[in-house]
Amino acid sequence: MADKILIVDDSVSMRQMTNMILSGAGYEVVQAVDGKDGLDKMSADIKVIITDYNMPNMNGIEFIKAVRTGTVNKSVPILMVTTESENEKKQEGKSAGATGWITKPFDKDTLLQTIKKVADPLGF
Amino acid sequence: MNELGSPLETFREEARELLEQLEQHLMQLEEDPADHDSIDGAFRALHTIKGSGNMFDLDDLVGFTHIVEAVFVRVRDGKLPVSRELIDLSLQARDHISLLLTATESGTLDTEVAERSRLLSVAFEEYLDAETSAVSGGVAGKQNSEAPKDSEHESEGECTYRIEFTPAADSFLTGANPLLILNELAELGTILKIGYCEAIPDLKEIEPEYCYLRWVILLTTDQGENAVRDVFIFVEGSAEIKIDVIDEADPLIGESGYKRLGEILVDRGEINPKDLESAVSSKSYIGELLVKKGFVSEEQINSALQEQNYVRDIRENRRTVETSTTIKVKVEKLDELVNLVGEFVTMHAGIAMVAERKNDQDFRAAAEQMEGLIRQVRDLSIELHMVPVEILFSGYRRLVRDLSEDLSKQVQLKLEGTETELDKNVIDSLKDPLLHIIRNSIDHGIESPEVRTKKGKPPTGTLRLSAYYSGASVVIQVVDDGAGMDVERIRQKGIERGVIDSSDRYSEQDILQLIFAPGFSTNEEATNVSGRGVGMDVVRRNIEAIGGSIRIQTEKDVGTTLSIRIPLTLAIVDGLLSRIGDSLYLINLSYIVECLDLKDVRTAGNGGDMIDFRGEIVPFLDLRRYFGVEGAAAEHPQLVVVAIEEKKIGLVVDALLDKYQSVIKSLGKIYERVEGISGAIILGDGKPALMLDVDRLVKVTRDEVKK
Amino acid sequence: MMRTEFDTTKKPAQLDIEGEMSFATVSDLHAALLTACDEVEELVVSLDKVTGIDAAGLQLLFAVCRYAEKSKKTVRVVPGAAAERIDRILEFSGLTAPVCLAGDIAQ
Repeated sequence: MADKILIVDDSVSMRQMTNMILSGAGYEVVQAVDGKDGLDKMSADIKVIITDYNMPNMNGIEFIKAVRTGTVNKSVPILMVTTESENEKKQEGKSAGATGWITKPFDKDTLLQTIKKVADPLGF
Repeated sequence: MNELGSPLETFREEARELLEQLEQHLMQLEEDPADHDSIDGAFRALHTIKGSGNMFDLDDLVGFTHIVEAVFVRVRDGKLPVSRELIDLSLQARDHISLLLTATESGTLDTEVAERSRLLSVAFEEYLDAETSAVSGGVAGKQNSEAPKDSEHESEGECTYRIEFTPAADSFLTGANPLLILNELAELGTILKIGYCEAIPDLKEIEPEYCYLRWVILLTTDQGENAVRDVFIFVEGSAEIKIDVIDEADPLIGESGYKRLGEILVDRGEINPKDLESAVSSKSYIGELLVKKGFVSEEQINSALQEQNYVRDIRENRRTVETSTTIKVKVEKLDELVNLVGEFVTMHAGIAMVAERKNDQDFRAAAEQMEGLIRQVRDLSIELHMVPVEILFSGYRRLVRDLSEDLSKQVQLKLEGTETELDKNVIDSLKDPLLHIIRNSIDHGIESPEVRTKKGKPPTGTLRLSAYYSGASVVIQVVDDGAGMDVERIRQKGIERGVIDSSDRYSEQDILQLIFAPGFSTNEEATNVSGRGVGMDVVRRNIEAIGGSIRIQTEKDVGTTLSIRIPLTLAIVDGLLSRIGDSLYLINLSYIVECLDLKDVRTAGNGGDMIDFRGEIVPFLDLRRYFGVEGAAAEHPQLVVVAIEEKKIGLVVDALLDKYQSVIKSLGKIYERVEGISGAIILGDGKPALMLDVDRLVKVTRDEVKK
Repeated sequence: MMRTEFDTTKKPAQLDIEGEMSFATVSDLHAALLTACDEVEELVVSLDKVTGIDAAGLQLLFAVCRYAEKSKKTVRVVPGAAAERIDRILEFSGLTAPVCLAGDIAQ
């Protein structure tokens, strides 16, 4: 069974683009348009979440906090998408419980490597 | 990334919507220039277009939008007021971005659009201060802060790090799995992971979601410290991370033992040095003792023991690892190769001669081409035979350390020019001579700390081993800052032994050379370190055997310098072919200062046995007479001025023929006892030629003059 | 994901852990272990049906053994079919097996 990744982003093109890379690499991708939608689509079998920062309804920080204090899969690795030089946002994300971040713009390799950095492949 | 097709199209649509929003915000700003929401909105729209555009490699679009965005950063930060002109310009920019969006469909921009980009950019840049515009320059292209590891850090050589890693208590909760970090570290190189579970409380007290584990990790990698730190990028700030270099593949550090168990524990802060000392003073097995005394836990000891073993293993492996990128070749095979190449050189010389004689253009051209190739092969085979003197030098670290300890002296060894390469055979032959010299320097040269202090010198003496190229030779120096040699005492001793007489015609150098005489020692009481002067005569013999020479410079209380000059390679020499009677002689080019017509040179000195060489009175040697060559002297004898260590003599030969490159063959029995000949070669046409031992000839001639 | 079964009819009583011993389940698992330890004097914890373990799960095993050492109760952890799994994670983490587990691992 392919590992499931949840993408939370309000930009259709970003979702499409990320989806394309991840599907190509063999992941199963679940898409959500904002934090609220993301919470609805949370499930125990999601391996990694990639979330944007700026989103309507529920932004990235609120979404991360909600996952961490929730009941379902609360320790799932979460990567927050930021743009370069947004150090405060990285810190804000970390304090909210993000596992790491991915810097936009990213290319295919960076995306896959960063996911590998946080997704557990060990399986003991 | 055009193959993505549909996401790009989606991006275009999105960008158009954003541009629409941008326009709305700009219009709003025209009415209310201080409207924060509109300023923010305009900025966000531009920021998103730039960010997403970057994902699609739309460089022109991104570059342009970036400058506009930078201006809006200033507006947002209150550093720039919204003016009518700015809004006008921004609206133009909005239209231009829209144009760029479609323009990118065709791939390259046409010149008109590019020019407009430029003009608008210039206009926007005027709103930026110097600082911001400088920053704007670099951002247009793809700048990835998470650049691939290998390009960011140049390889820094192999290094072993001790990484102390204590994850934050809540690390599980933030999805940061410490085992993944271990995994990522392991990918960088060789790793030893030592887990600590001592902090885990029992079932009653544990907070199961907290992380109680910590690790000490030994990692040997050539990826550099930044690569190691990168692994922790997501947890730095929350986890405790301490990275220390515990072992570098720096050969200069030498293999002088790994850290003691106790030292490792102190390094890690697991025991304080005082406790260690009190435990060690009772001289029992240290690990057991520390546990027994309750200073450290068994887990800590085991971990330190593991570290000790790990470093030892890594060191042992390093040699194998280093050679794995190279091929081991038996020296004999290399010798054979060099010999064969030499034969090749000789044979080619023959071919070239024939080509010359036949005067066949094609033949000659071919021979010339061949010469070029042979030269390359020759250089390469010589190179194969060369090794850095570092191998030789670093072997003495231990000796210096042990010796100075035995003699209660403080000696600091400095190595210089360790990258200088020398023929492997030369290195081998230098090993023992240098050993003797170093022993002597520490034993007789460098004074005890007390004496040094009295003399106003630093208590620690310095012994410097250095190597450098000097023409076709390499000079190796052993320099100490010790007491210097007592020239007068050596002279007295020389007279006592009847080696010299009491006249004053001996130069300081001559007297100093006496220490190389068999059984000559200036130390009344020989120590068990340098013995009774045994060795120095062997030293000179060994060095001369490889065509080298040795020279001493000394100054009382300042120190002594021994300089050994040796040819770069033993096997092949560049020489000047000269003729005396029917015999041919080869003179090593590296010793030749100048060639002159003898008749152009004025003789000097009382018996006319000296020449005036550019104002310097230099003795000369008529080789015809010296070697007892029969027949009449040449009409125009030639003078070859040679020099060894600044000491010049002139050599008189009948004629100079040509430069010649050759392999030296061992001498046949006939020449074994001829002083001044060091070898023989076979020329291209099969004729033999003798290799002059210039070093010897210089010595003989200058000695002669003194008498 | 994880289920426990506490069988007090066996002598000694046995707690079977089935499924994953991971961060997601350690809280529930901790509660089950505490209950079992409180109820009986002699306990066997069987990991035979454990299908996965992570650092959090491993930590909890250490805590069980630590408890076994400290308390007067007899607690043994039997890895069963999970022995290889546990060996691997221990080795990977550079940890040595806790005492109440080590004997069984060696079997």
